[in-house]
Amino acid sequence: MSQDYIWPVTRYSLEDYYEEVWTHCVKCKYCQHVYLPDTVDHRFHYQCPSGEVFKFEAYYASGRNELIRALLEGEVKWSDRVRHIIYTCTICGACEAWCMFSGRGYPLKAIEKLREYAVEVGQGPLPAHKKFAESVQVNHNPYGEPHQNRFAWLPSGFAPRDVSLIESGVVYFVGCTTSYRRMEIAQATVKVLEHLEIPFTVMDGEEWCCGSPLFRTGQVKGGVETLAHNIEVLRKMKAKKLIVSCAGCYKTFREAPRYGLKLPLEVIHVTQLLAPLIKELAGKGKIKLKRPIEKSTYHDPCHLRLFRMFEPPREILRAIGIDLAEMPRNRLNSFCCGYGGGVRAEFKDYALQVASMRLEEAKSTGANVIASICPFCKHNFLETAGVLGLNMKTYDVMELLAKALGL
Amino acid sequence: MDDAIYNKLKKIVGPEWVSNDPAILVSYSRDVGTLSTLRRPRTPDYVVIPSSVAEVQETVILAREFKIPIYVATTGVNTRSWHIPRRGGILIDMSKRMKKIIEIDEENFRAVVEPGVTFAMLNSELQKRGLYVPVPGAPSTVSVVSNIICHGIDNRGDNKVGWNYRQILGYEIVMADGNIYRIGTWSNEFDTENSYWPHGPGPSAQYMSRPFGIMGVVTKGSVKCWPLGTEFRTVISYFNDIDNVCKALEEIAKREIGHGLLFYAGHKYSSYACDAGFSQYRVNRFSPEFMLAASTCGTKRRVEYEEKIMREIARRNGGRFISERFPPWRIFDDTQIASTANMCSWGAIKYWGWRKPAIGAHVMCTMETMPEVYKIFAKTILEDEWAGNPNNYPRAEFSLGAIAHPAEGAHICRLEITSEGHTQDPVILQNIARLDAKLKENLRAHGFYSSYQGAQPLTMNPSLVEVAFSFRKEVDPDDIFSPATLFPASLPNWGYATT
Ligand code: SF4
Ligand code: SF4
Repeated sequence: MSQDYIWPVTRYSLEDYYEEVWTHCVKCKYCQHVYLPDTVDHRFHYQCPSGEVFKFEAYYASGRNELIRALLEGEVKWSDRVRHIIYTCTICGACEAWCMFSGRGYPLKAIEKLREYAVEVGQGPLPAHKKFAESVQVNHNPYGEPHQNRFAWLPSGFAPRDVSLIESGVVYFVGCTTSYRRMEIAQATVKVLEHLEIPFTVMDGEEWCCGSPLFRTGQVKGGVETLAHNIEVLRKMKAKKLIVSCAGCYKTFREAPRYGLKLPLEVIHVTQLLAPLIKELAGKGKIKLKRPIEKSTYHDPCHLRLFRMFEPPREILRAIGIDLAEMPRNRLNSFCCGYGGGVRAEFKDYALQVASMRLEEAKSTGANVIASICPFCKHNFLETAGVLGLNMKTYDVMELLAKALGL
Repeated sequence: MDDAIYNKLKKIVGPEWVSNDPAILVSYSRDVGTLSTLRRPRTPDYVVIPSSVAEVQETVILAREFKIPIYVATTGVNTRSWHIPRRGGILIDMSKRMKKIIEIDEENFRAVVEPGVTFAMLNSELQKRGLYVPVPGAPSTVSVVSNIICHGIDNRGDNKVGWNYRQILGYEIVMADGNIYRIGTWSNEFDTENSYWPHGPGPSAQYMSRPFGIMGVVTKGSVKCWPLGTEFRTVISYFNDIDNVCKALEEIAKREIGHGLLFYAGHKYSSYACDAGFSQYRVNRFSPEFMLAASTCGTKRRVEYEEKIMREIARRNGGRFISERFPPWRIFDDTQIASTANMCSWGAIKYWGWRKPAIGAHVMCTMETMPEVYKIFAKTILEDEWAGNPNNYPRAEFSLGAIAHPAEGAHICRLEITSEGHTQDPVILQNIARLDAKLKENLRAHGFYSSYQGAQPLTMNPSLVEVAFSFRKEVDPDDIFSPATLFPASLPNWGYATT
């Protein structure tokens, strides 16, 4: 009996979350704010992007929780508004970081489950999400780009190696957004790895979308299919370590066991691999680093925040001599870029609005560069800064590192 | 769905900021009060999010015109369901677009804020200026203005700054007749410098809220700020019996030291440490039953002195200091307990235990009679045929708990006793209701009374309540602000406080 009240993340049905809502969600609103003692600037105290933009309680985790109750009890019927509430969540997970301490609920997992339920009952996903699910089926990427162009960005002369010949067994999983939209990140990554003589390979034609856009929008079946393909290929390759450039890929691979998939290898972000190495090599004078810019702020991607992955990119920025100006909301308190959870595909204006809120905060640090380690964040910031005419440059940490190494 | 009221509201606040969509409305249907009492969620008919006093005024006038109820919500926890609609109506959400810190007047130790400003927001700015506002027993997510009006959870800023209602220097209120009423700081436009008395002119602001109804919507509040100490210290000691912990608490209180001072019993502290019933049960079984938390802040010299005295008193009364030797207990340094230092819950992260309140009472008693009250409580539970049998509550549904806060020069103490349990089991619920009534009866038999709201008997003068009532009748003849009794007689009075 007593086991009923342990709430491990593995319990995973909407009814479970329904019970959680009834008994745990005390409407304390911790889910709306940064960690309270970390409030350093009253302008940047909030953390839920959808709530801050749409303002009604329904758009915060506490409200979405209540929507689960009302939908299951039949108090609320499916409507455009319901779908809007469900799909404007960026799945940033800020709510869950604090709710775990307060009401002890899992609002992020609850909303993901609600999306899954919406798909099950034919009320989701939204048109743009369906489109990218179709594209993942056909092209193995959500952008409608031809699969054969996936590695078109590869610097000439680079040929994938046989991973079984590489002792460390490192495979670089590039990801769709890095491959088709922010190729400069992939190029910088490959150049740095080659320069530092780190043996690695890529999956070449066998790399498919990791499934993140599908999982995030409730299309779990399609997500599992494409993720399972990748894991199977990696298993056959006997890969030992997967390095990624993208926070979405990172979360998806790390969460594979939640969907019944066994992960046969370690998954890390490329900066986790490089941070200690760069420090060591620079300390021994084996590499020369030239500060590429003077000052930058750093944006923590939400999907990495979930795994408390904060320091390696900062260590790299510091190692290359950049003056790092932290934003009032950093690390666990970080604020979303606005891209995630299928938001940008369906609600572009809203995604840009969220990014502009973050850029305003970035500006408050006095830096005019915002660095990050996720192609989605970079893409959204770049476009928003362009639209608003802001003097705010956006780089991936790998690009700055490549520049620092003179590549 | 469009209707006359909806269309008018759209004109007042703009179409984006009004809704009558059920999907939006349900998010305003419950708070921790509905959760703990299992009342069915209830929704308003409309929600509006105003951005100015004028918009609030027009909304109130509209409600009056159509004679429909109006409810006000801000942010943070609402433990009493005051903003949960009794029968439809308009809910004004003041927390989203009226959240400006209007002024921080360092020279006069005051800040002027809109209702959406939380303690975390205000303290983040005040701290830069060496000031703070005490958070009265609530997480810092709560609205400064509404928390002070509603008297927080323990009704006091802290031991040294005194009662909550003393923290307000003035309100601006849109009354039910649509007029703006200004008290305290803003009461006399020719003498603003000197109008720091918050209770007039007219009926005192402290009678503006509570279960018997509200008078209007507060659109601005001026609050007292206090100088921030350079040092903070919390001394946590553990006791095995109620007499000793009470004696220690009394002695410290009567030495007039410490900003935050309380003892916790049973689940009141273990629930903060455990995620599940059975682990809480274990913690309860293997831990000392009472925890005394005394905290202070000030200059280094003063804090060192107070800490020394607190330790001496705790030790003399049999208290043990586990926390320094046993790191897991340090968890409490992050909770409400540590936050009893004057920064109060500013530093609190785990504010809520996993369980929800069940049987409980707030008793104002003298410091000496605290153990007696607690024993009546324990006896009520343990001697009961049903609750006294552990097999009936294998998940320790009825772990005993208490928080005591000394007040009024340590003459009296506010003792909150509660058990906690799972709120969805009908058998447990029935028994909770039965035991709740029995507890109150037993307390009465010994000359103690459970007040609905801790400090109410102390701070409420009956004749002033009368004045407030007649004033309210005058400005709100249709009762738009208080359309029905919130807690119908059929439901037990859970005796739980508000935030
Ligand atoms: S933090 Fe959790 S318990 Fe508190 S209101 Fe948010 S979702 Fe509910
Ligand atoms: S995941 Fe992010 S956007 Fe969604 S409810 Fe939580 S904090 Fe808000």
